[in-house]
Amino acid sequence: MKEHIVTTYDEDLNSLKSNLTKMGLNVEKQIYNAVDLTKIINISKAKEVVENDKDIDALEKKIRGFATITLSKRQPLADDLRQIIISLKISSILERIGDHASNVAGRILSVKKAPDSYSTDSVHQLGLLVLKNFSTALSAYDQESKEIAQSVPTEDITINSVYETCFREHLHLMMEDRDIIGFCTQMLFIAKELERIGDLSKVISKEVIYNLQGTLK
Amino acid sequence: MAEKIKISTKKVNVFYGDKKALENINLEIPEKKVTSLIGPSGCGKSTFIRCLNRMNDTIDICRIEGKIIIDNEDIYSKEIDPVLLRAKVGMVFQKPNPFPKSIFENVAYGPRIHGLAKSDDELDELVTQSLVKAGLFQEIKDRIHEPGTSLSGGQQQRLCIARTIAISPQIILMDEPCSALDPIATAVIEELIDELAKNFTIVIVTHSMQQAARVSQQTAFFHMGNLIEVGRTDQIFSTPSQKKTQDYITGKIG
Repeated sequence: MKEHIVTTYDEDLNSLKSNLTKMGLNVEKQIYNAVDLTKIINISKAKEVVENDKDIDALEKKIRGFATITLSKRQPLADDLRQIIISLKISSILERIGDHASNVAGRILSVKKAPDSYSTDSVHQLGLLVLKNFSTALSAYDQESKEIAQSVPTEDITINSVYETCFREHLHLMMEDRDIIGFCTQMLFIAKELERIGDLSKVISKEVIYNLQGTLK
Repeated sequence: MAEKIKISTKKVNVFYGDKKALENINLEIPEKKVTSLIGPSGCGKSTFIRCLNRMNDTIDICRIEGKIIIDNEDIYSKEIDPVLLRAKVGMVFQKPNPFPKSIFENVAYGPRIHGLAKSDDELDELVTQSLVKAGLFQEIKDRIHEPGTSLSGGQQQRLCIARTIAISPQIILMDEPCSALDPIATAVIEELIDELAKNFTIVIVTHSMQQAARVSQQTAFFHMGNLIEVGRTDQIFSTPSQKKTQDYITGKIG
């Protein structure tokens, strides 16, 4: 990577990137914990996930402020301009993903404990796939790799079909055992939150590709 | 989009003595559009713009090869009168350079020597119209007989533009017209360029990437005497195809 003649410009762009990566890692940790909650319900951990969402919101505000100042100070063009535009977009997507992870924890708080007869771990399996694809999208951004970014939408197709299977499975469970309808409904909402994270990871990967090739295709 | 090409250069080489200042420049400039020329100092963009109205003729050691076609005529052919050419291809310079005469006389000078006005009334009207088109009239109408040099820098530059358009050129060349102006005066000139582009073909040399991005529809990037890249302005500043262009517009070192 070539360097700018003005070294503080490089510092600004690097700082923007490291802040966004930091936010991404925070969100990754939130998803990890949320997904973990779908396997083992833990009230204090769920509360922690809900609480931590504030940090993510604060990081988004910080990135937005920093990007705005960089735009006005440097009047960037071409790849520099795109890097700032995608920082703004990705930070807002990460904030949304953070909300979804926090919503998962919120639902866990409302169910408190799983009924003994509920035996499937399909929501957790879905969550693991979603977490993995999110991490892939994040490394595509970090490593500026088109190849890694391109694998995200492909994997999201799998996630969507796992979500469909999970949905049908829960319908059957509810038909078989009316006592767990309330719990299963919450688990379906959780599955939907996770599926949305999958979609948003795909949007991140598209932003990475836009940054690298310069066109929205 | 069928654009009419106003100026077309073919294999243009320019030498100052033994030194080659421009090499193999092939560029087409569309009519009634703004084309900006960007590039580092010494890249040849000012040399190029001066070829378009044969300003380089006055430099003894300057030699030009290739063809520069304006409206299907080679402007370097023997039949072309450089004085008439310069009436058709006007120029505005980096520093405003009004004549040490009144505002009126600055604008009236060109029409008078080219015999464009048949009467004093006609000349008055032509001067007024030129000042109106240059966006200066309202500000100075009460002191039109005061010296041109009494105006502010931005006003002087607009006076020079009025002087240029008074002789009804078809092309206006601008060599860094805003580099000596403050941001407000610059904005007024940029607004004027948008307006002028409806009637004139404009070629502007600028060191401000943002200005090029704002005012022009086509941008050409020069580097060390070569034309590296030319294209639609929005494309050049968002996704340039050449690495050298990208490095220049984003301020990177090799």
